[in-house]
Amino acid sequence: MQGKEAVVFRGYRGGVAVQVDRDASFGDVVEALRRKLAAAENFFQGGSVRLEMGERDPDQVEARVLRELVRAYGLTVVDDEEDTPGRGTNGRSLQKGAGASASGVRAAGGFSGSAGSGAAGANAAGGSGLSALVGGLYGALGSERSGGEPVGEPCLLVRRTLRSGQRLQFDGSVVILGDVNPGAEVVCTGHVVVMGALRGVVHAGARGDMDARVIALRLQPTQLRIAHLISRPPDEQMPSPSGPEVALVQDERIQIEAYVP
Amino acid sequence: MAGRVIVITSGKGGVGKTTTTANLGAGLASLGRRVCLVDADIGLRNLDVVMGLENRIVYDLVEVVEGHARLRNALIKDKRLDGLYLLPAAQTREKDAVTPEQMRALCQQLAEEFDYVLIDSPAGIEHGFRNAIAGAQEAIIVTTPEVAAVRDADRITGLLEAHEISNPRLIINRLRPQMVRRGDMMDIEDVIEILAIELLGVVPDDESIIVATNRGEPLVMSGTSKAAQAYRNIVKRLEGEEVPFMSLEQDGFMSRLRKLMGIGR
Repeated sequence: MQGKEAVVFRGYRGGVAVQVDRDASFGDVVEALRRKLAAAENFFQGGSVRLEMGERDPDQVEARVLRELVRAYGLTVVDDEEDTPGRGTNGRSLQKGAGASASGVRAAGGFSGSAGSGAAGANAAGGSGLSALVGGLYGALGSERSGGEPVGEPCLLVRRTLRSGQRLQFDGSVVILGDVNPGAEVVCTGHVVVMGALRGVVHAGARGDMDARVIALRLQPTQLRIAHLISRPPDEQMPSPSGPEVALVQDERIQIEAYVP
Repeated sequence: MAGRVIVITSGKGGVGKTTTTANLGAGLASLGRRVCLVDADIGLRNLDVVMGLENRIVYDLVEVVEGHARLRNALIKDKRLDGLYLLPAAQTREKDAVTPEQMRALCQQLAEEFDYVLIDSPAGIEHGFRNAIAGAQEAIIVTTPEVAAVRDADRITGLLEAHEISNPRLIINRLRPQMVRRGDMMDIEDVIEILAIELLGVVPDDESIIVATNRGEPLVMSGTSKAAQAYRNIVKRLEGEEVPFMSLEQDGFMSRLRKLMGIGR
């Protein structure tokens, strides 16, 4: 751990843990936690975290305060002690298939809906279901590539259609079992797979990954972005796509091809 | 048994929410139901005009909610149909004059006395919309078969789902079969493909609607046009009856000729 931060967010098998430094003053802890929660508000909404006080707070006095603070930002606090943190690293950008890169699970968030519908919308995405999914994928991630075993990457599975005005944001890849309606947005650092009609705005490889792809059963987005490239459908009416297609970057431009597994 | 509280909403303005509310209310009342229409469009009230009851407003929804008037005194009884009442909105106030909690309490009170409480929602997704849906258990989304309207209807569907009003039903208003045939207008399947909610009915575009709303006489009371028939079918479906969707094809010259010559469609 570099510096001596009062509060550190750590990704681990079950989700996200909030680790509180043993020696920091409680005032610093509260301030640091508030700052971090506010900075990552969209990512965290609806998810759950574990509070790790270490040896600091045997009577749970401080924990109670921190719980309220966490809840105020739309998160729930879970208590189970079945997993210990420290398996993954708090790394940086998502590397596709790069073995032990566990950084993608920095934020186990649901999706943020519009004002007034955030909480219910995030519940619909399934906060706890997300942790279970993330946990399962972590197993594959934890081990280094050895003997040709497949290495997975963090991925969010959403089992409903995204409606106009709904925005899905995730640090990792995204699979949607449903449609993405016009006016809806999907933004993620990895790939996007839509098992349905993609008619909204999609941004894959949002942190600059030019290898990111967008795959859809019907690829008809209003706008498609990969890394820093933006593309839109031609102005003339195009015939509906006849099958699954993939958008990817070739020669610095976004190309669309029929998807062949 | 408490009545059904249904909000009629759309997102987009001008697609026919108020007209639909008036016609559904009148239609249900003519089947013998006790119906209360609630105009939730505070500041831009229209339901009273469309119902032809403007001149009889003494007290409005805001005054009831603020305690200046009794609900009983604010309700306007329609003289043309038994069991049909209107609670008008205020015209000189704004949407924030009422809170969602107040609307919820009001709707609960009304549901005890009426078989149906139909709430005419304002356009938009802000305070007025939230007030309108606060007391509702069911929703009817009205849209026209136009791209912009369908976008807004999709947004509204998402918001309704987030507020736990599930299974909203759809009315497609102002369909023009000739434009659909030419490919200039979305057809029913195009709309359903995006919205993916249950279709309650389709109302064809009809000049007589404009005449009716201007006169303050809901079409369903006396009209014979296809639009009036469509509204009557929707009313029956609301009551649980299975009514097949009307064919909206115009009887053009060629089809009349075909029929005359015994060559079917």
